[in-house]
Amino acid sequence: MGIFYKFRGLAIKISVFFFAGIFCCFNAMAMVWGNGGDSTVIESTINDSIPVEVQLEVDGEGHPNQYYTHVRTPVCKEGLCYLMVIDLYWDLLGNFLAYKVPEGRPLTKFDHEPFSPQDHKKMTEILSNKDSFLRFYTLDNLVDTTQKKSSDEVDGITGATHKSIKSDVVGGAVYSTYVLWHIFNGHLSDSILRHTESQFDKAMMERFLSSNNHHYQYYALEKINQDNSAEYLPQIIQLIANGKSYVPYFAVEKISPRDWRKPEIQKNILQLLGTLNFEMENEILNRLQDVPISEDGMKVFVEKLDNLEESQLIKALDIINNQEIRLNEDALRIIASLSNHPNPKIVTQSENIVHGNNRLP
Amino acid sequence: METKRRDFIKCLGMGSGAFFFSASPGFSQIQPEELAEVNKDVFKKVSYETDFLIAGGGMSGVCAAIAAARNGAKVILIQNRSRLGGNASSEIRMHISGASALRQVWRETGILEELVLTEAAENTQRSYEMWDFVLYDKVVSEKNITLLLDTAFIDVQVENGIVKSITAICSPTEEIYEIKAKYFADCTGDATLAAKAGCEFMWGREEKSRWNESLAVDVADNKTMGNSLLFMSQKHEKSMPYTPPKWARKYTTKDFVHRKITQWEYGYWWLELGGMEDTVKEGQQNRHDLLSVLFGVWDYIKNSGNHPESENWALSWVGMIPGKRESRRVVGDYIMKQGDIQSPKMFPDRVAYGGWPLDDHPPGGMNTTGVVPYISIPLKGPYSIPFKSLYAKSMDNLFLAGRNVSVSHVALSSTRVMATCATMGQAIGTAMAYCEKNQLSIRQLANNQQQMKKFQQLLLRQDQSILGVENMDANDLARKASVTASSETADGLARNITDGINRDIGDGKSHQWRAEIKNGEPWISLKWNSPVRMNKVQFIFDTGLHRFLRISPQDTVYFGQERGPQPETVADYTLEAGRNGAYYPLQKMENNFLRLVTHEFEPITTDTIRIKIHKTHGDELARIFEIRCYMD
Repeated sequence: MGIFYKFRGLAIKISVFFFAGIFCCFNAMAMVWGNGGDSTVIESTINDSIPVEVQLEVDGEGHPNQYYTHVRTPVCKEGLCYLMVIDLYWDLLGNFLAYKVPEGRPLTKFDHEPFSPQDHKKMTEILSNKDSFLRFYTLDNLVDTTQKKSSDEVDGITGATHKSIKSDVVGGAVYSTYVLWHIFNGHLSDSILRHTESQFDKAMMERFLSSNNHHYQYYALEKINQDNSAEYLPQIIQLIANGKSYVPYFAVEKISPRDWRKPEIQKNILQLLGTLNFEMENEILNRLQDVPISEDGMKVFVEKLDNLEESQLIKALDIINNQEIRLNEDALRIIASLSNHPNPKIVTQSENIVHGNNRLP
Repeated sequence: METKRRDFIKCLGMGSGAFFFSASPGFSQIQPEELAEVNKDVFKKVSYETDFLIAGGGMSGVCAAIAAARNGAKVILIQNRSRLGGNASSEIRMHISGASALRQVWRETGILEELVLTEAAENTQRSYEMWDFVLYDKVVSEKNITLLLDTAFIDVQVENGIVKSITAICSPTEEIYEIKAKYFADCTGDATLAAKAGCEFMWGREEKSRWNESLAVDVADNKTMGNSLLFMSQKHEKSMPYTPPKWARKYTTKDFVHRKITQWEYGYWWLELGGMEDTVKEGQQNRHDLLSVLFGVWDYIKNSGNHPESENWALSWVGMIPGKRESRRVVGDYIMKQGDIQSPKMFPDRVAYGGWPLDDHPPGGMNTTGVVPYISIPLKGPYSIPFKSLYAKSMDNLFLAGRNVSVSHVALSSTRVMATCATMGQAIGTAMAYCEKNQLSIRQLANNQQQMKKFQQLLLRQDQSILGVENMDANDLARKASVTASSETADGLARNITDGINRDIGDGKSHQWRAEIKNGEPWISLKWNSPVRMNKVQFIFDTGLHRFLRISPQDTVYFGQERGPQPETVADYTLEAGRNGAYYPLQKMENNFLRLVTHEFEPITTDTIRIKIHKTHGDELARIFEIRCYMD
């Protein structure tokens, strides 16, 4: 059984017919945009004439939450038809969220075998991949029709799936995989994204930046530039700390050289050393190389030295050595303790800092 | 002799002294009137006349030249560098990719296979320069080939749709060549010859609707895949710090989200730029931009802190010639499209094959690190390449091979790789000689089914990579012989050697004779009811075509490869002839490592041919795909 996202908010209107005959040709869709609280936000057609309606679901506070549609469609191939009944869910950027099939109508594979939990897991992974090569294939390309298995089911043809593409389809269910991937990631997905874009405002920007969805995080970061970055600094630092996927590397790019000089920013970011992954910590150290570090920032920095890898420690000591500020006694004690370090380079660095510090006014 | 010596000095005075010797007292005394006289001798014209002029000494041109020469044509091969191999040479160092990417059984055969088997056997040290000399040796060893290195095509003379001659310049020898030929081949990659001749060509990306290509862009544009510059590095015993030039670009971790750095002994095909501009005309800027990318990426590896294991590594080689993926594509009588790659057809005029994925690269390259550097759509199997895509539509005598053949942008994303280009080269080289021998125009060969079938038989006999063609050669005496062997395995029957199929074609059958070697020296024989006359016997041995086999600067490319001779291959054997049950040795072979081996000898009359296997390169089975016998 697929994952079911329970409706939490106000259901506006559920009236969706998705009816596809030969679905292979997904034509461009005409679109009708809803106004504000309109029930149906996307009306579209597939194959020129088959109506599709997608609704935007909002949460208890009236914020857009996800998009939803119900599909009941026979999908046919060479006279064999398979009635697919399924609920589909997208996030606000048109990315796959989940699907749900009703009791008594499970997704099936070759010869009526119902999907196993593993099959659902794989299907979820495939549908989540917008870049799947399924986008570029016709069904005929996916299977070797010269080796057709006989079956009264559409997915009967999946027995001849070529091995080079097997990893991108659910075994025994090429047809269902193909249909669902194209419904989720085709024109409906584009329309959803465009709809959200048309509604995007500052409130949504803040919700995206503080969400757990890395698509939202990327999307919002893309809208941050030199002019407005100062406005979102707390959120950016939050994404450096907790952003999903590769988001932290994009987030750190949004802190301008001017902001790096701010004591508060330095302190908050240096505080993260020891909690981030290796590459992210290097990104921070690299950005400190030409920045005068404040007294508060330096205090945190020195305290965090113990959390760094050896190569990072060398880099950090170089940064500290190049600073023009005098270290306090606690900091000097920490650095002096590195004179016992097994790496002779670090010993030398530590001694240079301690001696150099004594020469500072 | 004395005169020559004086001329030499005069030439130095004018040609080079102006730049290098002006301060030398010895040359400062040359008189002005002598200089005027010398000037006439600079860039002297040299005329050649030949059967086949090939412009471009990359893998396509090399294979075309060897194929044509071996089929009896006089060939001039011009190459604008001092080394052969183009993108595969030590100057660029891209490994030769092709149908091995399918991970099935489809490594290319023919001349390319001969080249790579030779390299694997003789260059176990993996020296790139020695790979260049494998190509050089094969080319200069063909007496029908005149190789003109450092020679750049600059002009072409055309009359009534027929290319008459080309002009080329060799800067180091100060010669201008006028080369007349009956046939020409544009293997330049950029279609320079064809474009200068006025042939219709394509550039950029065609729109989806043009040829119903799902992988095409929605709206046509002039963008292409970019060029790449490669590097190599070595590990040292001590820390090797690196300071980039000031003009190197700066990269951070976010730039490598889609471009993984897992090793740095060789990198990286994704050091790619130029697709947004003109990959030819903007080449000077493109090279510098690529260098700024390359050194920027090396700076990132060395100094970002993300790769501390690179501490002792330092650059050992940096390419200076960007490897091109795409530029002009000449319009032929047929334009290959996505459908021809993804849903392969058995073109009646098929003469070569490919098997690389539909592997398109977004034009932005390293200017757009936020997007993936490639979109690669795997193929189900190999696809055929039609002859009609391998000559220019608007010229009567201009062949094409390499990335500049008649394909759509989408199709090019697969056909562009060098093993595929090499198979095209062998096809057109053989075709040229076939046309000349049979007094056919190129288009006549393309459109005459009987001639095309005979031509395909010739290609197959010479081990060309070709699909769905079986040995129907009426001149092959082996097809009329009965086959017996000392032993055979259940899946390697003796009769397989004349079943018409000379390789594994993925149909579950071996198509080869197999015999255990541990119990002695197995043999296989061909016997005729009545004596036959012959002067040639050729074998196709097993060289493990299911594996990849290529020189590469990258260690991981060698995983699964067998360097040296391939273990399946028969190494030592004796070819014997027999008459009424008595055998005598015809020829002995030691340490063979090739797939196609031809034995030529004075004509004999015999009723039996026998091959006795003494040794393989490690395999427990003696394996032979095919034996053919001819009286040529």
